[in-house]
Amino acid sequence: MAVSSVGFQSDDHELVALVRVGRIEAFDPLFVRYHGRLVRYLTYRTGDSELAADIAQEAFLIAFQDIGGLAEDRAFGAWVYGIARNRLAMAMRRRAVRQMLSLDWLLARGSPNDSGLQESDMASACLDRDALSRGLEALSPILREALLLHSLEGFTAPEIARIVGISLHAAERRISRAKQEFKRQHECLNQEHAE
Amino acid sequence: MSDERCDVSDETLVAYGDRYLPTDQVRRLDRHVQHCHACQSRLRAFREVDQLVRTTAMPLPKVSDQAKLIDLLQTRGAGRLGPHFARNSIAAALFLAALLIVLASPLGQLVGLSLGGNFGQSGEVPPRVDLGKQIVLEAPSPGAVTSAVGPSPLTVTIEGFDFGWGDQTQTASSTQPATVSAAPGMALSLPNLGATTHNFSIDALAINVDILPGETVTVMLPDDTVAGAYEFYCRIPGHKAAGMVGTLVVQ
Repeated sequence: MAVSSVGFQSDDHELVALVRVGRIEAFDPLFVRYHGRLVRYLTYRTGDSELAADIAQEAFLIAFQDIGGLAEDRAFGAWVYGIARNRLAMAMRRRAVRQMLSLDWLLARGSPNDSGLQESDMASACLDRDALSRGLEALSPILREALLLHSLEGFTAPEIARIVGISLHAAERRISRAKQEFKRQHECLNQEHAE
Repeated sequence: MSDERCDVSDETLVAYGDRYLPTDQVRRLDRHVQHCHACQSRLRAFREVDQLVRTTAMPLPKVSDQAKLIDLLQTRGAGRLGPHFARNSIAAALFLAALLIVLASPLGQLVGLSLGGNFGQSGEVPPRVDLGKQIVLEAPSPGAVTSAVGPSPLTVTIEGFDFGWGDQTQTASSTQPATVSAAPGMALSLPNLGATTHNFSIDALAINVDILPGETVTVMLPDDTVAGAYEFYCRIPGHKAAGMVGTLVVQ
């Protein structure tokens, strides 16, 4: 790919190609393009904006270090979201282990199912409740992820399949179910509000 | 959202909306949707959800908001941070301990290194350091005043934070990059007030130092530095674009 100049107008593939040949300044537009979006997406996933910012930072550092491993036909955006998704999963596991090892947890909780470690609970407990987060609360973590990636972040079903690590058909099914569930939930909330 | 007379699945409509189906299939669906009220209704519902999500979502975090968030993280302690930062903290502690041992030893005295950064308070010439042009001196004191004039006339302080240089309150709300004046032979004291690792680089002077969160790195400007304006920035990907860039004017 013939690329020479770095600009905020350059597309992702051009910028990635420049970074690969040592033009590290080409990573700046990629960071600016995706960092804020990624933090917001992770905030909706976790309900914890601090954790979201931390994971986003980690994801970009890993992306920069491993950019040579990014397949040429793969979009940078979907790739960095996939990295962040893995880091989030690791963070959730660590949090779960820490809480399970805590004596307070053993005393306070009757069973592991009540551990409060589900993303859905995290989101409702911590996030400032805007209109979107209220609608998201009714969705399972799997459907919430699909809705955020498709409706908010604008990824296509094939990109989401790669980010999440599922088949294309599964991604399409999750997206359609998520939208149906979200619409139903939103209508219920509106109805309750009217009453 | 389904219609018994229509055999187009919701999954197919997702694919149709995303426009990645083969052209001939898209054309068939175009013709079908034109006459199928059920498909029109489902596609409309999908679009309404997209629009609803986008219009009600929280705004994208701004850099200044992120800086406030990082401040909050710092006050709550490193335990809230991820493993990356934990690893860095351990490495920093080990490095600092090793450095203190060297500085306290006769060898440290022999090569002219000393603890403390207030060079010039009694008029002495600041020690020249050849160990990669950097020594870790001290942790930044909380609430330290940011100023182009450092703790002594021979030290200039440039605070780094997430993501900018200089005075946080001014730089975070301003699009103007920081400008700092200094003279050859002066020490640049570089506290990192952010929660992430930063870097201070001046390419023209071959200065390139990493600064761990909560640490201060001091860099000596060579005595033979040519007067002029030098760009300084954070080399960590994305940080320069986010605002971590400024100009050092050597007079």
